[in-house]
Amino acid sequence: MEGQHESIRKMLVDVTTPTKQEEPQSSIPPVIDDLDEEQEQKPAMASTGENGGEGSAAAPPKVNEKLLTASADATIAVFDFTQNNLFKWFGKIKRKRKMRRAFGDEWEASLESAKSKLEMASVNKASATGTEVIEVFTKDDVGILRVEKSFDDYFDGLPLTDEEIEAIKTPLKEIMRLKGGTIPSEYLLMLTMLQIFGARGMELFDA
Amino acid sequence: MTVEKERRNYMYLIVGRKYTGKTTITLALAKASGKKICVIDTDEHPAYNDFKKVPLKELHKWREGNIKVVTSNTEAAFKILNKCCSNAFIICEDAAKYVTSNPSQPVKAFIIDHRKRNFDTAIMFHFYMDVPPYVCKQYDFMTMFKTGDNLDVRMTKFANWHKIVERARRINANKDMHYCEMIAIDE
Repeated sequence: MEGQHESIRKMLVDVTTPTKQEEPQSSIPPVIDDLDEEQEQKPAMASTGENGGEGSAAAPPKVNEKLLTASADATIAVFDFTQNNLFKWFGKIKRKRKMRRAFGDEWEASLESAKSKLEMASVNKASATGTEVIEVFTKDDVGILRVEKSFDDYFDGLPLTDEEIEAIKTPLKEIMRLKGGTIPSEYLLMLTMLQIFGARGMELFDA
Repeated sequence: MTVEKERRNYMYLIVGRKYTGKTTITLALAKASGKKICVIDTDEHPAYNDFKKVPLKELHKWREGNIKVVTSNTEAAFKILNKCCSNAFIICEDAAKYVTSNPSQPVKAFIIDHRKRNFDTAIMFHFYMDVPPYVCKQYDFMTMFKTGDNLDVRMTKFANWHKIVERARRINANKDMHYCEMIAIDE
């Protein structure tokens, strides 16, 4: 810079005078929630292990373990309740269609009749009075009972098993821990949407 | 009685249009101070290409060398500077983006406490009207380049506006695009 003003020249000299040195305050960084280094935040989220991160600068906030477990349990319970009801409803619709296609519009009466025959057969077997009453099952009776049984088995298997709950709970707790022990808003949104769509779907199929 | 040969820490305001030479003068001041330099920037300014780029989460470990922190989270950068760093010349590039009329707490703390950290600081703006009133009261020296401000509008946020406007007119009238002058807050 040629032809600098005198004020600049003076300052460039003045600034060479040293100032009073201070010691570094701290080498421990302040806790900051959102260090915006986008590309460097990925590893922390990818790790689902117990102590996956190796001492990142922004440590996740400390959370109460009991509260965390309770929150995770509550989240899973809501999810389980939703999926259970939703799939049960869809299952019923599917069963109704399948029965109607295979056994006609009177399928409900046929099912009742087959069920009562089955009941009577088991009562007779149990009483063992000596007089043998033989229930005659038609091909349709066997078919309709078999379909009914397969759907009952499906409905029985809908609630989450203990293993499934445990499998969901571990990563869910890990995510919640990173979010300060709260239920992540993404999850709440997903559950809410599932409930809304589910309710509308049910109304539609029910009509 | 002995008088210590030490100067106080300075806060510079650097005001000027693009391509007037703000960065050149600021770097000259920073290098003359003999301190390590940290540039806070939201974009990669090419003038600092030879500075080591340090991610925000590594800033607290900075002890030597000239660095630049390119981040949109300037608030976090100031938090870390306030807590962990000292003895440096801090350059705030394009400060209008984050040193606003209602500055955040970390920015305020940085401006107030820069002497406690032994920071000399240069805060750069393109226009006088961009300089927040809060900063107008805190700076020590202002390096003035050509600007596009309407100098007929009196900016009372500067205590010595009458002096500033006089020099600003002189600078704008100068044919050299890079001509600049410095004014102290108490002139």
